[in-house]
Amino acid sequence: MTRLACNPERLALLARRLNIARGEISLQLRLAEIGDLAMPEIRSLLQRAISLLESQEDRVRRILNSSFLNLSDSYSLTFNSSAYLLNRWVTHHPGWWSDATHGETTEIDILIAKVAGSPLDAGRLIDSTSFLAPLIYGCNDTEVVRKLWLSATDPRTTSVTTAGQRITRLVEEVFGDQEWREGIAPTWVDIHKQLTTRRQIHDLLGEVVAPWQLQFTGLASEWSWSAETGIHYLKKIADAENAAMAISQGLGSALYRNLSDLPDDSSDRLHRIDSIAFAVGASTELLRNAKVRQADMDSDHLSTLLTIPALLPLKLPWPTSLLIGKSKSFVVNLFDKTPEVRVTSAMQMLQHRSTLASIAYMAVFNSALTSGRIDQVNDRPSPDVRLELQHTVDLIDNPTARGQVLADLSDENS
Amino acid sequence: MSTPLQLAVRIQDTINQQLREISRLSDSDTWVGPVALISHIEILRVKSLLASCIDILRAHHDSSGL
Repeated sequence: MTRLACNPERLALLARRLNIARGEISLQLRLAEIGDLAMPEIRSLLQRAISLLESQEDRVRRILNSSFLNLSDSYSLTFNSSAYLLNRWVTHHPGWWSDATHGETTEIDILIAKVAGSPLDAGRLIDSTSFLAPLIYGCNDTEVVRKLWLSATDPRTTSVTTAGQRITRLVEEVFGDQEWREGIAPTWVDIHKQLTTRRQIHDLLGEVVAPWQLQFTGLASEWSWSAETGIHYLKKIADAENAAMAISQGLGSALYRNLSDLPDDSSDRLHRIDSIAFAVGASTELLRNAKVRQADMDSDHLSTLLTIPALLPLKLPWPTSLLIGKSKSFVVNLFDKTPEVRVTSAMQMLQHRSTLASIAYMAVFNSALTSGRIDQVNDRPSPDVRLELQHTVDLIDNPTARGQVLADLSDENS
Repeated sequence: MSTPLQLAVRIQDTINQQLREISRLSDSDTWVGPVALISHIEILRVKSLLASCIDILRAHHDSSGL
């Protein structure tokens, strides 16, 4: 424990113990009013004891329910003291955001750094803090903020619902009004550094959102928001070049993760595949429109995506329609007369979809295998499973989409 | 056991269990600096009030000759 601190978890426990003790003494007071125990001194003493405990409990609960701590979430008593300390600091230092622009480690840097590496503590800090801006703009070192948010939203340790609660708050804060800056007049140093910070935060958003990008579109219902709202934010995030890169690079693994665990019910399963295919379509279309550097995409993105199937321990019945080179040469032949940037952009999108269809195929196959709908890796899948696999591939990469791209480019050239 | 004595024992249990736990949770691991709103003195006052109850109840039990 540091100076000027309290331990909220112990404090909450204390409030409960005070309440239990008060209840017990109230019961004793009622017992003392029965028959020959009706003694005024006892009654008075017990009432004073109750009153003392009551005032103590009130004070503890006032702290617990103050704006420093948000106890309305499911964490209840398990929040950590970092939230208290951070909110206390922010309340007493309206210029907290200006501190972050002065090139030195701030109090908020120190507080966040303590929990940033732990997914559990980082998440608790975010969930326990009702005012999110300091957790985004309060650090001089943006790397600390990056670590905090990536820890708290890591798909390996964070549930879909929890990640949704955290990320929706994050994007709403980043793209919302920045009214908190009104506490103190900014200097030119503040303004300059803040512009840099904002760019870095936009890049960071791409990394945070990348594993969860399907929840911005086809799987938006999992986060209790609309696909329109999700796409609106995803588009804004993808405006930043590095963010678009991160989203692009994260699409393959997001797709695989979300398709690997499919519902048992066949109708639900197809519905989920449809939703995910819609999400992939939205992401690839959005990234096609974002100004993603083509050279980087070629060297990083595709190689990243293509390593995923290679790493899987499955020997799959691989459909020849999914060979990447085939669709690539098909597209090159179609578009070799159109302006270079548009062609590479369109090719890129089709390559993505073809690769993503491969990944989706493997994910659905893997899901069928783990759920027992396929007995052995080398077995020929049943007609139902084969249909499901073909359906998955067709939804993500199909001749209609290729035709649409061609039509778009033809329209632009005519 | 007479009713006053039963109540005295029950109050003593409250001191031994609940108030001891409250006292433990009010130590320097929980409270430091300006958030030290609950002091051990206040808890001692509660203990003292309850101890007085016990004394009265015991005296009542002794005087009634039960």
